[in-house]
This record gives sequence, structure tokens and C-alpha cells, in this order.
Amino acid sequence: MNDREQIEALKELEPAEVARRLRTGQISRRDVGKLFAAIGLTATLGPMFARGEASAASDLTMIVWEGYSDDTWAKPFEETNDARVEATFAGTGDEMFAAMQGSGGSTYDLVSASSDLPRRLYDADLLMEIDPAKLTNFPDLYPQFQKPPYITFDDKLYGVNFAWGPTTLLFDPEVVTSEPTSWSAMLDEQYKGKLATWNYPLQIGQYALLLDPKPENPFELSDEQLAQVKDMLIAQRPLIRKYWDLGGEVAELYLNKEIVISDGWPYIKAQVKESGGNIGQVLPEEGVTGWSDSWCISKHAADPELALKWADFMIGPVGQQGIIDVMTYAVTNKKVIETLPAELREELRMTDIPNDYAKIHMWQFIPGYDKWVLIWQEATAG
Amino acid sequence: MATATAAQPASRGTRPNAAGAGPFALLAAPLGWMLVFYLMPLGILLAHAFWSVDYLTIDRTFTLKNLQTVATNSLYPTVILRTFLMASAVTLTSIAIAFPLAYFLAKKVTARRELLLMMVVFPLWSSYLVRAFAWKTILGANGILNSFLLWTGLIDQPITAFLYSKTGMYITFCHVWLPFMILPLYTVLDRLPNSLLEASADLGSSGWQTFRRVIWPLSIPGVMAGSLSVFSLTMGDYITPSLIGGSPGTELIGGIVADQFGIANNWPLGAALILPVLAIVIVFLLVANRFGALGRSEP
Repeated sequence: MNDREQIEALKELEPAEVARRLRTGQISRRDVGKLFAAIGLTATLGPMFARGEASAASDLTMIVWEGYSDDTWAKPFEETNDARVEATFAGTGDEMFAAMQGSGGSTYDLVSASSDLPRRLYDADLLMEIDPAKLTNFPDLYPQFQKPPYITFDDKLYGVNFAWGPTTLLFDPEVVTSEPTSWSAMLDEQYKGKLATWNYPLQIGQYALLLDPKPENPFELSDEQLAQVKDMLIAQRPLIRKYWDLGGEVAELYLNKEIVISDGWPYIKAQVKESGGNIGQVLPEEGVTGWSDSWCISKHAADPELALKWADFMIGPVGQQGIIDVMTYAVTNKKVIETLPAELREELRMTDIPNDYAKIHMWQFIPGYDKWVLIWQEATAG
Repeated sequence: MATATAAQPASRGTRPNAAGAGPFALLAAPLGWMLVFYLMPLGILLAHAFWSVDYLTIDRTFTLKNLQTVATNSLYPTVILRTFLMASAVTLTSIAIAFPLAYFLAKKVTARRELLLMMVVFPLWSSYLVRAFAWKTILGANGILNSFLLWTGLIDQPITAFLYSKTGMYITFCHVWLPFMILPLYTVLDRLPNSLLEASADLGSSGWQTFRRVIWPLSIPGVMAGSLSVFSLTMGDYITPSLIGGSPGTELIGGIVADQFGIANNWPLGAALILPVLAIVIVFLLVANRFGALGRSEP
């Protein structure tokens, strides 16, 4: 074997194997020097700097809503696929977007994007097109969740819709003894200093449900309507104990008796219950806003096939049942839903899917969202 | 002879050069590091202040729009003023707490001084987040402080103003930054010759007069160095406001800036918001430098 051939052979080896041969004397230091020269130092060290050793191909990184990487389903997935799931919780969709945009889509393989977010990710050229033929569970989805408009751009699919639900009104039944029926409870003087609301500009839509006349779509607001909501939020300021950022924080606020009423999600209620706390949840009469969540895959995912497997797994029986049990959210797989007991379907509003779904004002992409952000900041942070 | 005399100045001439190159060579690595990994990114970041964002892309045309927004929208001056007042209050309080402690450590303790100094530094070994969280459990409605006050009978309802308030933030800041004030104060007081204190006492000064005329003027560099740390750390913080604040009227400028980058995706506005904060800190730096905080003047 001449020099060049030897170097070519070394190039094929794993760095660890090269190091082993160097230690055992099968190759000399000079050979390693030649190897480095041949492949260039950057090619050797580049990948190390780019992703770090912890992010080998079998790692799946994701930025998600709290709870979406629960062990109930993440463990079986890890075992079947010999992979490791590494999730980061985000408090808002905006945070997910900033994290994706800031890293050019290279830090996270997957995003659990709600219905407002995929459009922005797509416009920023961060999403990978998804071929439904590669998803074994795709045909089992209700037709309306297969190619909904919020994940379909240019007639191509960019997400896998796996869960949905409402933002709800939560309360401590020990203090708020008569069940509130209206979002106006969030502006009620009697809860002064005992009230929390989600620190998220998109929540302007929720408060818009209180406007008179009520807007047709609370996510398409005129400047005048936005100004009215802003006044509402300013009036609410003296009542606020905390603008909350993460779901776990709300659960903690209830458990520590810091608050008695707030907005939230079914998962927060589940968390409080699991910790032995008492909590009530209602869907107010004005209607509710909500979210429809999809797994979107980064265009620069380290292992797109593995990411696709995760998305497929999450619309399959194990993933869907997990979402129902742990998160208490509604799901999208028809086969799974049809096997559920009637009470559970009733409780999670999945008895008559198209109708139940249509009752929620789903979060949507908002052109000129900057304005919403500024109004929210002026009202809450000033 | 002539060659010898000619050689003499020549060799003398090279020496200062060599001496001049020496420190430079030593500095080259840290300077290069600072330039590439600190000053350049900072420069790029600040350049954003004069650009604008158009939905998802950065428009690199020069504009003063962001600075105008910062100056005219009442949100930003309000929050910057609040941050400045908070930072000033925390700094003054830290001086008041740290000074006696540092004096005690430097002048009164003889045995176990190292151990005590270690205890001052010890909290810095734990994460800042952990310390802020610890204050949450102390200040909450069901927290240690309220439980204690209820037990003593001083109050019959938990005081909610401790947590999720400016009071809570103020207490937390004063605690977490305290070591940064104690250490420079300890350094100047430790170097302060005891003979000066004795001379002052021999000449009939009271303790207060000695403090005012001798100790305080000589510890100004330490006070300034500590203040610089505490003040600028508070000016830029955004963790405590979100954990311990988070109610209306508690947001500091650090949080607003973090939101521009991490939520609103408006880097240009975020960069523009940094400028006034940077200006305030630089002014403080210049003032502190005049008082010898950076070690120029001898006590």
C-alpha cells in the first residue's frame, strides 16, 4: 500500500479508530499529520464545532410546547428507534420562531408549531416539505387534519397535525365558588392581585372576544378594535399578580395559592390535579381561542428520516393515546378517537369532530403581527 | 572606539523596542480574542440599530427610525428610567450592607479570615438562577418570610407585595450581587494602613470623624469598582424581573431587549434599545475611572 492509498484508507475510518491505531502503533504520527493535511483540519473538527458530540445522528432535538416530550411516549420512541429525544420548552410560538430563525434551523430538528406559526417558518424558508406517503398513520387522520391550510403552502405539506384544543379559563374552586361563565372574570375587580394572564401578544385575540360588538374573527382586528383591547389590558393591570410565561409556572401559582383565576390550557389543569391541587376549568360563553398543533420539520434537520418517524409516531396509536392521557388534548387520528369511551370523547370535545373543532377560534397567522407585539408590551410592561 | 560607541547606542536603541514588543506580544492573544469574539459581534449587533426589519428580513438601509421609536414611544423611556432607579437603589443598598461587612473582614477578624471570605464568595458557586429561585420560595405568599411573620403574629394575612413586585426584585438583586461589592471593598480596606486609623484616634477624632475623613475617602476606589459591577449587572438583568417581577410595572429594560430578540424577532429595535443603556453604563464607567475604580490612583 503506497502512501496515498494508505491515507485514503484512513480517511474512511472513524476518528476513534484512527486514534486507536495511533496508540497501538499501527500508524505513525506522521501518517495522522498527512491525514489531516489530506482532509483539511476544518473537515475534521468542523462537525465537532457545528453540532457537538451529543448531537450525533441518532439524537432528535425539538423545541416544543410544555409536555410534548413526555416520557410516556418519548421513551417507547427512543427504544424502538435507538434515538434520544432532546426537547426544549418554549413559552410562546414567537419564542419557537426566534429560536428557529436565530439558528437558521440547525439547532432543532422539529417544532411543535401551532396553527399561527408554520406560515412564518415557511416564509423564512426553514421548513422541509413532508411526503405523506412516508407516514404510515397518515390515512387514519380525519380528512380535515390531513392537509389543513395552516400547514399547506403552494399545495405542499409542511406539517403533521397531531393535537388541538382550547385556551380555557382556570380558577381555584375553593375561592371562586360560583363557576365563572364569561371571560369578563379576567377583568373582575374582586380578583385583584389574585389573577394571572399569559404573557403572549396572541392573547389579544382572547380578550377581543369580550368586545362589543364581538369581532367575527378575533385574529383579524382593526386598529380601533386593537386599541379597545389595549384599554382593556391597561384596566386589567392593577388586578394582575403575574404575567405567566410557562404552563408549569401557572400550576405552581395555583398550588402556592398565589392566584385564584387565570387563562390557561387543559394541560395546566392536568398538572395541578396530578400534584394534588384543586382546580376548575371552563370554556366561557363568549367562545374560546385555541390551537391546532403540527410537527414541522426543519429544512436543516440532522436526520430528516428520524424526524419524520417521530411525526408519524405521534399521529399513531401510542402518541395519540399519550396526548389524550397526559395532556388531555384532543387529537386527530380517526381510528384512535373512535376506540375511545364516549365520556372521554365528550370531555375532550371530540364527539363531533368537524363541529367541535369549528367552535374554537383557532390561532392563525397575523399579518402585521409587530403591531400586536407592541400593543401587548405597551399595555403590560410600561 | 568609534565602532564601540556606535554600537552602544544601537544596542540601547533596540532594548526599549524589545521591551515594547514584549507586553504587546503578551496582549496580542487576549486582544485578538476580544476583537474577534467580543468587539466585532458587539459592533455588528449595534449596527443593527440603524437597520430595519421587514417581516422576516433585515433591511440594511441606514435609518434612524429605531432610535426615534426608542425616544418617542413612552414605553421605553419609562422602563429605562425604572431600570436606572432600580440599579441606583440596589447599588446604594449594596454599599451600605457590604461596607461594614468588608471592614469587619479586613480589620476586625484575625482568625479564620479566609474561611469567612470563602463564605462571601461561596454563593457565586451556585447558579444565579438557583439563587433567584431560592428567593421565590422565601418571598412567596406561602414562603418562609410570610410563614415566619404569621407565626410571630406581626401580620394576620400573608404580605403578597414581597413576591412578583419591585420590592422582591430589589431584595433579590441586593442579595445576588452583594459579593461583587464586598470583594473590592475588602481589597481597599485590607490595604488601608492601621497606622492611619491609630493616628486619627491619637489626634482625638471620634470614630465617625475617622470614618468620614480617613476611611471613606481612601475606600472610594473600592466603592466605585463595586458599584460599577452591581450597577451594570442590574442595568442588564432580565432573569430576576421575569422570575421575581412579572407583574405590571416591574419590567426592566433587559427584559424588553431580550423580548425583541427572543420573541418579537426585531433585532434592529433590540439593538437600538441597548444604546441608551450602554450610554448610561459608559458614563458611570468614566466617572468611576476618575475616582480610581480601575486602579490608577494609589490610596
